[in-house]
Amino acid sequence: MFLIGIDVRREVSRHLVLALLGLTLVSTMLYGAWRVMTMARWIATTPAVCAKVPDYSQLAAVASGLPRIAFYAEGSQRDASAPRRGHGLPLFCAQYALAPAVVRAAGRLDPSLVAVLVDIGDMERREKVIAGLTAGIHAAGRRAFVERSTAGPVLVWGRDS
Amino acid sequence: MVLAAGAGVIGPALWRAGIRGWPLVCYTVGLAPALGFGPLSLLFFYARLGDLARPGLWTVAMVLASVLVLAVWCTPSRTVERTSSPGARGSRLLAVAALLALATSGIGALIVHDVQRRAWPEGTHDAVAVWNVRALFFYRDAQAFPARLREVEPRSHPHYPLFLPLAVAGQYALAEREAMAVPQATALAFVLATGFLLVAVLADVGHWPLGALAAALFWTTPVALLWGFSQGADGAVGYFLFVAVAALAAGLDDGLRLPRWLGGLALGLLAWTKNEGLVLAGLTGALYLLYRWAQRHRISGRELATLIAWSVPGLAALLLMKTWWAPESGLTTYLKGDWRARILQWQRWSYPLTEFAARFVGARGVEGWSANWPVLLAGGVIAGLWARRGRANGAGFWLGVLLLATLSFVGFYAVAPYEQRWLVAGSIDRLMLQLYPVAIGGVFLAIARLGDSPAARSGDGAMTSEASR
Repeated sequence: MFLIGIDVRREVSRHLVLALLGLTLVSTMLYGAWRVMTMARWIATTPAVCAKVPDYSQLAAVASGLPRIAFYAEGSQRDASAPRRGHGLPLFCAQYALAPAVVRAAGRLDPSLVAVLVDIGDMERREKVIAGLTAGIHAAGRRAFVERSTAGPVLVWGRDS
Repeated sequence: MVLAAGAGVIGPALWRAGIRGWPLVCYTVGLAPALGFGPLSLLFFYARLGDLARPGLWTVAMVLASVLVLAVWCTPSRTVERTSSPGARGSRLLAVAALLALATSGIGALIVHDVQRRAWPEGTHDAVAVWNVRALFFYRDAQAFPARLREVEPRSHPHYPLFLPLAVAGQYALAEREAMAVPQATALAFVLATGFLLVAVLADVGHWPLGALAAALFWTTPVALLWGFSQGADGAVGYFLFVAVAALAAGLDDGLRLPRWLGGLALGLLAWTKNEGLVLAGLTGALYLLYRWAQRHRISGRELATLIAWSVPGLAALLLMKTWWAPESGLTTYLKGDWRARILQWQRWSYPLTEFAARFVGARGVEGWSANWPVLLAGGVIAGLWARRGRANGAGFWLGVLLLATLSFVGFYAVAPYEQRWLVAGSIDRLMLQLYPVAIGGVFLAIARLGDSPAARSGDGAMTSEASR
């Protein structure tokens, strides 16, 4: 149906389609805004990434003088093997706090490690590991240093005497 | 300050391109991160690569001034007369509603950013493990940075490109101190700029109310805000892909007036931002050239040279960083194990395909996207069917980029050596955020064509007449 050169049917359906799209858009936005508010509440009550791990930054001053630090966390190291994959977060938080010192997951604990960041919650076990490390450093003919943080993690490193 | 300088660089070039009024304002604000953070990040990379002194304020100012001169020189001078006044279409009611939606959603986004920066000051997991920590490495000891990049925990992806860390470290250096506000504000800048760019693109074709709705849709998408403000690189990837596609679409008679050099710059920065950015840049650039060929437009040597020249700083930075600084390019990690066997497993392709499809149609159980993807899909289909008889313009280009990018992501999931369900669950929304601005921009441009009168739709050449220099 044409009127003065205009396809009336097409124009009417065009406007209908646009109106429908507009309505859908507005309702989508309103729904989205409500979901955004829900999300904001969830964010506000969810702890920060590194909130559940100890504060490693107390060791930053000492760490800055060390070239590379092996990170040894509690969890699966009953056999002194490398921390399991799930321990990535404490490692990354330690790295974030101690940059530009390089922090890497420790392999087996042995005297060849220059510095070890020990993060073990169980005090008895932690002291046992530290004693083992310092003994190894001494056995290698080096001087052992231990820096403790109030949050728990301990930095153990050796230096040629 | 960096953003203001970026705006100062792009503004005159857009003016020369014949863009005036609100499109100029919105483009200038929307493109400020590309022209501010982009050169800053590259400058700090090349300065360290060349063992030069850490760039100071004057060096940054001089580099940005040079970019300004080059940008203006590379932008063809145009006087554009629109035969129908932009923004005049649509009712006043729509304009008021769109402005209201834009303002409300913008304020909402700012509130979410404030909540997120208070709750998670150092960002999400990837920001802590990859992006922000690398900025700290660079700022605290730039001399040792290349050596330390080779030593850091391999799980922190030391092969990732350095756009974001160096943009943040560069701002630390200019401010001469570290502040968590820097990565937080950088993330905010990309989210806000993407919205302004959506307004600008639609305003450029005479439909600013639609642009305002597009930006409002972006700013009311939970996932876009969550990951956009996460201080990760995905928001920046989505932004640069959008800039690249919009600037290249301007070369496909899409009614847009962005200069082509901007497409080259954005492609380079896209690659310099994240590993998948290189794939996206390659696919987008190749599709653009294919489109030009299909349209029987001869791509001039000058245009090709401009595109390549502007993409070189970003691409070369990536190549040099991967060759000299990174422990490996990323391919070694990616192709670990029997990758041929992984490619041949149909399930490794079907599962990510299903997950993408679930998000596109808004299936139950998919959280965070609201109903936006299905609405965009429906809008795109309707606009596509309606435009059958009219000129397709660059709509197919926008759609093509989305399709190719999605397929490349599916391919990535199929070949990646990790446990697939874990990988998909942890990253698919972030990958879809990278496509999201292009999806909104493409669909809204197509819808804008529906709003054009038949006369205007029959040929946008009638809408604008250009007098090139």
